[in-house]
Amino acid sequence: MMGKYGWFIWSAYGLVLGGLVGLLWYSIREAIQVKTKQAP
Amino acid sequence: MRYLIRLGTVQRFYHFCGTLVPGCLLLGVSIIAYGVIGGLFLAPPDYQQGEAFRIIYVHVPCALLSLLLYLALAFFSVIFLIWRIKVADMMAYCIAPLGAFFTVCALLTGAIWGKPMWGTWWIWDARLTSELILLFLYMGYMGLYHALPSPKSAARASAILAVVGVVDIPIIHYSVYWWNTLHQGATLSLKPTIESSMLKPLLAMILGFCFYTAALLCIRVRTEIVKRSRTR
Repeated sequence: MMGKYGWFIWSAYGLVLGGLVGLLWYSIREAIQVKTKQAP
Repeated sequence: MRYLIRLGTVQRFYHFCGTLVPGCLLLGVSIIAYGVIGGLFLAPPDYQQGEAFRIIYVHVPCALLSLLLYLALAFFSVIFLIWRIKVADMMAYCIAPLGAFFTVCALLTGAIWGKPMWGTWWIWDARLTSELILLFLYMGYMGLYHALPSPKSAARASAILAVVGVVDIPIIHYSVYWWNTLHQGATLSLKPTIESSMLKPLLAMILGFCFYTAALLCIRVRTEIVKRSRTR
């Protein structure tokens, strides 16, 4: 699929979309950690 | 104006961001899904670049957002420097890593696109070099923010850096016109020459990325508000 450029196309999409999902996961995890942490 | 001033208070802004998150996230994910399907499967291959042109659907939104987020970073830094609004400083602080992420993605997807089309991963071309300088500006902002011991002077110094660095934005945009570069001209303009079946997924990806980034920004700002309220 995508001919001889398949590797290039899928790696570009994987990098960006994977990064976006990772950012969301990290942000939500940080938000939960901060919320559940006891106030000093 | 009165509404904007009221929104500047931390508590109101915290709730305002909370109401935006679900809608922006849902819109962002659905529009990006449409854009990915359109870009990968529905848009026809380019007559010169063939299938490789499909990288445009991730490269252009990332590059555009790297510029827009820097403009937003500079805008909030100016507001913070003039009116000392805490929320503006928090917004700028949360925008910086997102902007750096999109700049890295723009550079990497550009390299991935450049290898099959230009025969090289990297070249010291005006557009590429000025985009790399943008990454250094984001990194400089974040580094400076954490380097100074006093939070107030750190916020002020990094805001000044953000405002000074805004000079790089027109250089990035006009680099393809000012210098003889290997990078192609602007993809989007008021009268785009790109075919509509190729243009629609691109516009969808840009819009989807904007909504998704807005949701991420709201989540991060809310977290930052909670963090700072505890360390105060």
